[in-house]
Amino acid sequence: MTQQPPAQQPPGQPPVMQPPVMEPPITQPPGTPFVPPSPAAFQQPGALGETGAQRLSRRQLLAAAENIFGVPAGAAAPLAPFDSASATYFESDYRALAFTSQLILDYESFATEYARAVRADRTNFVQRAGCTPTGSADTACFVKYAQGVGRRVLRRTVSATEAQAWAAKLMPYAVADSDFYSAVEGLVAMWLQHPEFLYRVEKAGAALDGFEIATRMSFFITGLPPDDALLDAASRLTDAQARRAEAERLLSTPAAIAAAEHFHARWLGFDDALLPNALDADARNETAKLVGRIAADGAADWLELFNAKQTWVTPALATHYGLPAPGGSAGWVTYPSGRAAGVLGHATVARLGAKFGDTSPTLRGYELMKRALCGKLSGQIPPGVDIDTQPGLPTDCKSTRYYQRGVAACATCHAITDNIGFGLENLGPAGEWRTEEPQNAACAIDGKGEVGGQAFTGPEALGEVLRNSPAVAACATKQLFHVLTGRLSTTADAASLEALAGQYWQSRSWRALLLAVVTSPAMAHKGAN
Amino acid sequence: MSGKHLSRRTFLRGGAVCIGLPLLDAMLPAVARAQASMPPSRFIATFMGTCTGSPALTNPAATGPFTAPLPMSFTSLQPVAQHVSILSGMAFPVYNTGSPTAPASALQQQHGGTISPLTSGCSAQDAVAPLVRGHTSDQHAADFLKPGSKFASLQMRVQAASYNGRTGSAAQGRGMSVRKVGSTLSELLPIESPARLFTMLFTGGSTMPPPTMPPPPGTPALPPLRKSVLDLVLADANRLTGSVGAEDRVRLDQHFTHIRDLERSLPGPVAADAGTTTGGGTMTSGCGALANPGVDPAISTYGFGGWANETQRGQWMADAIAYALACDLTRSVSWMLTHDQCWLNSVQTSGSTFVSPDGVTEIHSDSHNATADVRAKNANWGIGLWSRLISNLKARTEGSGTVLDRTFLSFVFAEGTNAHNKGSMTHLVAGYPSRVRNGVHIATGGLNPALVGLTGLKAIGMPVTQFGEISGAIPGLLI
Repeated sequence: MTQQPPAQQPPGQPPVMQPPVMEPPITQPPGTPFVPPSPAAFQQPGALGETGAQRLSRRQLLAAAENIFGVPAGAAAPLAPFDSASATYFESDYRALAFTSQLILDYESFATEYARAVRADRTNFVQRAGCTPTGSADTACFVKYAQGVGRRVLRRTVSATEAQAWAAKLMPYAVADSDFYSAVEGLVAMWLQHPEFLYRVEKAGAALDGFEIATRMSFFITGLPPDDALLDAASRLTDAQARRAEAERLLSTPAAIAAAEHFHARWLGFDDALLPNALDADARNETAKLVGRIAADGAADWLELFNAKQTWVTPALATHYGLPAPGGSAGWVTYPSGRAAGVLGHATVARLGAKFGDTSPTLRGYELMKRALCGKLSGQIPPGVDIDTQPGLPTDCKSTRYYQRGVAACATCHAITDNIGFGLENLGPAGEWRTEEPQNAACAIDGKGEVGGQAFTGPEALGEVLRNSPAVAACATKQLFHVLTGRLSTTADAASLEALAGQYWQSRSWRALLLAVVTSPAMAHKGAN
Repeated sequence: MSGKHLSRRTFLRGGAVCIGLPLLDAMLPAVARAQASMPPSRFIATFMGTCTGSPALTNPAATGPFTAPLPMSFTSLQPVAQHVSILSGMAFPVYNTGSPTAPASALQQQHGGTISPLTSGCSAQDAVAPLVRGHTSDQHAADFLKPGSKFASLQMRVQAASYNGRTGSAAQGRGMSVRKVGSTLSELLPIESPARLFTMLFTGGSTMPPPTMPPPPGTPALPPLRKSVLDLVLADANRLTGSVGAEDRVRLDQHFTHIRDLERSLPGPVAADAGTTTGGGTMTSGCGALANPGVDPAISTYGFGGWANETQRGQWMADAIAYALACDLTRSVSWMLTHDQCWLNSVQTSGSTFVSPDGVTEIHSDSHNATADVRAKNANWGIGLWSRLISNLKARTEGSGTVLDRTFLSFVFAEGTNAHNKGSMTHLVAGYPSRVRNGVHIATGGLNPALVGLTGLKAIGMPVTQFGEISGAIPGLLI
């Protein structure tokens, strides 16, 4: 059954949808100069508001284990627990944690399997411990390993007393088995279930210690626990300049680029998107390359994300898009005129609008409004509307099929979502360029859209609007705030959010923004809990 | 302790809704304590996210004991028909956006919006997202039945992924079980991997072997390494929780509490893992056997109409649930056969031929567009898995009866006769014949389907009159 336009608004049914409220506005009124907000409020120690113990996401847990122990998670990875539901786009939300017996069993399953793998890799052990066990009862080597690697696992100093207590409990197993590594297996299994590994625990009190600052910095910039160099510098990290020096180093690591890629994949919603198999790896790499280039270049505008003039493609992806082929197996190519839309033209992001075997202007516009502009429609989908049924008649052009903009009861919201989506109709469900509708070649695509009261034609023009939009900047920096605090922002955070957006406008650089955050007093301050 | 008991109704004075409360020993009827030596009661809540077909295909022609073969939607139940009852004509009150007008209401526009009232008795508040808003029936049952079992509850799902174009963690989708403590809702996400369930069930989450060498004469035996590992984690509990702020302390306390529960459930110093052995791909113990499911069947596609041999997965889960209950590994199970909106491949489940606008054949599209007999066949696919579970429970003996004798099972569908229908729903119950009438068709005359969950809680002996926002009973069902 296809969905037909209602002849008129049902009696007694007022529109239930309200337009989204976005502050600051998407675009500035003509003739009104944009005045960036002041970043001053972010220099207050309490700028992050309430903070709490963030639990490592599944991704962070696996990456941390591999980073610390140097052993691939392999067979143990499927045993790692799933993330709790999150009110943010990101996997870590300390206000929405589930605590269940199943979770504890999952942690134990993962820890046990991974500890076995660590036990089996003796070369790795010797490298990390700095000693070769002389026999099954070599407590000294055990303690050396426990203190050295334990500092990275627990992100604090491990005292000799503590390490010896672990030895007292676990070395009897090594003796009983005549195998030193039985105790190592137990130690690693214990560490991986220890709350100081699983949670980013910060002690009560306003001032963080050096290890806690190191932990915040490292997870914020790289998504990984602090490395040895950062832990060595921990005692100096209460000083902003010391933090800057370490942050500069971290920002130059591949892990920082990977963390930036993951941030954007979660924010823009393509991390879990289904792409055609033949394009999947190439398309994800395309977006990763663009994000990586922007993140690595201290002078680049972060929001060039939406109107980058070049893209990284393989020959297959170039053919799919209808772009010039790159030299070699992959490379940067320059968009033809009218096509430079940054991630908007990538298959990863274009895919968010795929529906009914084609694109849905409503869905695509809604996703973009929600993610890039942090817009939110209030109210529910009205009774009688079936969003799983294709609207209109298949033989009609889409501007006729998606009729809701012209119906009073629907126009409030559809005028916003559909007007964005129709402006991107030149992009197919996987970003392929098209000039007429795939199901009806007689229907030409004009690419005309509107956002925030400003008309545009095609993805490039929309990208230009987004790049310079105060609302997009506010939305992007809000997502950064969510990652940093591990929670959804509230009205109590309004001043900090505005100031963080103001910080972005100071340089417009991703790298500079992260440095500003890390060197701010808030980085060394714990909020009320 | 006196023979009198404090009723939960008394405790609940004031009528708080959608809040889970601790069940104190003083609330237990004296008779329940006296029956401690009997096999335990068990509770299984099953959900399938689709519709059932037309009334003619779901409802027996007559009420009362079955006198004819079961209708098309439920033909797979025929071998166990004497253990099942059909509850027809159930209906959710519906409301438009705004305040609910009746307890356990569904939003008029429904996409997954019945799962909250069905599983928690709490009205839906979102038309699209299947958010469960209260302590679910399986969790009430888990709180009541927990003592003695290894897992307070188990949550599992047959459908391997959502099949709506999402991959990774997003493909897991939401579940049907929730715990509500205070104002905090905690989802208990189901496990969809048979291989993972097998590991969890039979090794308690750990495959760490006990020491292989016997201790020297005169030396005390070591506890299992697993126990020592947990002891070391717990040794830091006081230091750690004492060092953090109040809210973090609550979170860490919850974490440590579950570790403590796990540690206590482990045996003390033993030389071997008694009672459970592996071999030949089958796990055996004093309470039966279960085949190792091996590697999970692969997912064909995360897109619409995906398939990962859910029939095989579901059949193994039906066996595993029976094993877990018979071995008292748990007493409460929630079994989600499909996602709340089910895009599972219906060529595989029922041989459907209706092709959706996306060019695939799947259950959700069938529910909107296919004929009633196709919808009935899709429902009957899930019913077949449930039927296998009932047979398994019947086959496992304990005392002078079977596990089915002490198990209440419910099977609820997201929808009634067709997509979005909430006014003509048919649901099923089975088992616990000493307390639940089996083998009958009851026309409920529009009763709220949330009563199925409440009935189940009463059947297992829980002294409860309120479930989420709902109270009352299904006349003629409980004995």
